[in-house]
Amino acid sequence: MPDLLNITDLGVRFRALAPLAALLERAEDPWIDAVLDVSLRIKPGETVALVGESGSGKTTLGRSIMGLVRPQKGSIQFEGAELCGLSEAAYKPIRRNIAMMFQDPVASLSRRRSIQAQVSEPYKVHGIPTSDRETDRLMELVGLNSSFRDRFPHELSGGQARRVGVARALTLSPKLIIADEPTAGLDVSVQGEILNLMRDLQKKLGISYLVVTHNLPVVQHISDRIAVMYLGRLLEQGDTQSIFRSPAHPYTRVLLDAVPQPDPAKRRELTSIEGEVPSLRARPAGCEFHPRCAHRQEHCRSEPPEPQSLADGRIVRCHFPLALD
Amino acid sequence: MESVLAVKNLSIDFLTPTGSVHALRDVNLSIAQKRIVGIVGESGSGKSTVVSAVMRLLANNASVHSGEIEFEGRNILAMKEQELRALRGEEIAMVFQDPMTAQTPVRSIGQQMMDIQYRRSLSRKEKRENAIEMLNRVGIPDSMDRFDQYPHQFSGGMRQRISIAMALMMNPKLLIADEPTTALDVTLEAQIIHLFRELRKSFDGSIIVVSHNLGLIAELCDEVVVMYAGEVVERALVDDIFYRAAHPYTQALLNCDPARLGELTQELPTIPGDVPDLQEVPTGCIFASRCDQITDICTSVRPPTVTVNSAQDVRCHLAANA
Repeated sequence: MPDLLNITDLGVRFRALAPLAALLERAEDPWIDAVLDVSLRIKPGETVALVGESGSGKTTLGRSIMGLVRPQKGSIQFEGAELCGLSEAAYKPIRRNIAMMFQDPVASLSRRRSIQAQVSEPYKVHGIPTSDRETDRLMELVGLNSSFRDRFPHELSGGQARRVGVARALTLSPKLIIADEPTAGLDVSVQGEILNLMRDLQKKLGISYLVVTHNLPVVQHISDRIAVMYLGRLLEQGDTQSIFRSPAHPYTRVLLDAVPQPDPAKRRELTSIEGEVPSLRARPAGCEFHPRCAHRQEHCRSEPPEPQSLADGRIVRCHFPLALD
Repeated sequence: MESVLAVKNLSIDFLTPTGSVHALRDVNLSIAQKRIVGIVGESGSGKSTVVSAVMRLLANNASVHSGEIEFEGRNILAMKEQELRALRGEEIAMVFQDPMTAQTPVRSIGQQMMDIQYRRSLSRKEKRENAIEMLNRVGIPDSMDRFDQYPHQFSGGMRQRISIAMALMMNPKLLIADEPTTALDVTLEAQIIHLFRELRKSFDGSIIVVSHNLGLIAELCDEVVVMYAGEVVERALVDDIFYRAAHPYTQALLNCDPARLGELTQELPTIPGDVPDLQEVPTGCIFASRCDQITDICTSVRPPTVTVNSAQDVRCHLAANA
C-alpha cells in the first residue's frame, strides 16, 4: 500500500536570537535545530506514536506536517504530493485532509462561542455549506448528544472538551489526524474512553493517527508503530510490540524502564538513567545520547551514528544496538 | 503506633453563588511516624483539599463544616495565624507540583535557602553551609558554584530537587508532596522517586504523597488512602490496595491503568459515568452511580466504614456484609 505520509530527512530550525542580538553577542550560530534528519512514513489506517521527553521536538514535527512551522530541509509528501515549500494559500486545501487535536482541549476552544459554532467552524473556513444535522452527526460520532450544541467550553468537563476536540478534528473527514498528547490531563478512568473513541473512529473511517505523547503505557495498547525522538532526531522506530518486547536503542530501553510500575512487588532500587536532556544549543558530539548512555563506548563520543535497519525492519540510530530477543 | 497527623471526621464545604459544594465529607486518616502515605484519587476527589486544609491554605470560600486536624496533639484548625507561621515550612513542609513556579524568580537559590532558616540563630556562614549540604543531599552537582544562581538557570528536574531540598531544610516532621512528578518527564520522575527513597534513609519525618499516578504510589508508599468525590473510600497498606483492593472503586481504578493491563488490548477499560454533583450529594454510597457491583441498599443507605483483613478500612456495603 502506498504511504499516506512520507517524511524524508526533515529539518526544522528556529532562530534562537534575533539578527541584531546575534550580531551584538557575536553568536556564531544563532539557530537551534528542533527537528533533524527525520524520516518517517505513515500508512493509511495506521497509528504511529511519537514518543520522547520534553524538548525532543515531537510537537514541532507534528506542527510542521500541518504547515504551522515551515521546515528548512527535507520533504513531506502527503498522498504523493510535496508539502514543503507550499504557500499558505496552497496549504489550505491540504488542511482538509490533515487535522490536528491540540494538547490542551479547553485552551484550544474559544471561550465565547458555542460548541456547535466551533465544531462547524472548519466548514466555514473552507467555504463549505453545512447544516445543524451535520454538526449533530459529528457530535453523535464522538458521543456528545445534541444538548451540548449550545453549551460553552466552561460548561464541559475535561473529557467532554476532549471529545469536542475530536469532533472538530473529524469535521472535514481528514485522512490523517495529528493528536498532540490526547490523554494529557485526563483521569485514567476517562483516558480509556477517548482512546477507545479514537480507535472506533479509525475502524469506521480509516483514519491514520500520529499520536504525540510521552505516556508509554498507553502507547503500547494503541499504536501500531513507535518512533522515539531525542534532541530532534529519531533514535528508533519500528513495530510497537517488538520494541516493547525488546528495545534496540539504549535510550528506548531507558524510557521503558523509567515508567513507574503500579505493582509494589516490582519496586526498583536503582534508576536506569542519570542526567537530563542536554540543551539544543549544546548538542553533544558523536552520538548525542552518549553522555547519558550506559552502553557507550569510546567510538560513540566522536562518531555520530547513522540510521541502520535491523532484521525485523526496525530503524535504529546507534553504533551498538542492544541484542533483540 | 503514634500518629504525627490525624484528620478526624473532616467535612469542608465551598460556598459558591449557586450553593454549597460539599467537597469533603467525614474524611478520616492518620499518618504514623516515618511512614510514607499516598493519597490517590482522580480530579475532584478532594485530595488537594485535604492537604490544603492541613496547611490551612484553603480558599476563602471554604468553610470547615466539622472535624479536626491534629498535628502532634494540637488542632491545626484552631491555630492562630502566628502559630501557623511557626508550623508551615518548619514542622510541615510542602513540595508543589510545578517546579517552574514554586520558587521566587528574583532571589538566588542560595538566598532562598538561607531565608528559610530565618528562625535559626546561626551565622550566615553556617546557614550557607547547611544549605549547600542540603543541595548535595538532593543531588545538585557543583552545589557550591550553583548556590548563587537563580531558578531560571536550573532545569525542571533540578528545580524539583531544589524544591525538595527547601522543604527538608528545616527537618520537618511532615513533608507533603503534591503530585511531585506530574510535571516531569518519565526519566526525571524515576530519578525523583529514587531521591525520595534515598532521603528516607536519613529523614525522620513522615511523608504524604498526593498523586493520581498509581505507579508513583506503588513505588513509594507504605500506606494508601483512596479518595473518591470527597470521601475516603479505602485505606490500607500498599500491598493490600494493589493485591486485595476491597472497594469497587479502587478495583476499577486499578483496572483502568494501562500499565497494569497484563495483556495487550485494543479496548481500554474505563469507569463509565461521571463523578456526582457535590452540591447535592446523593444519599447512599457516593460511588453507587458508577459501581458495577451495586445492590439495592447502595442507593438508599450510606455505607459505614468497616475494617477488613485486620488493617484495611473500606466504606462499602459489600465489605460490611461480607
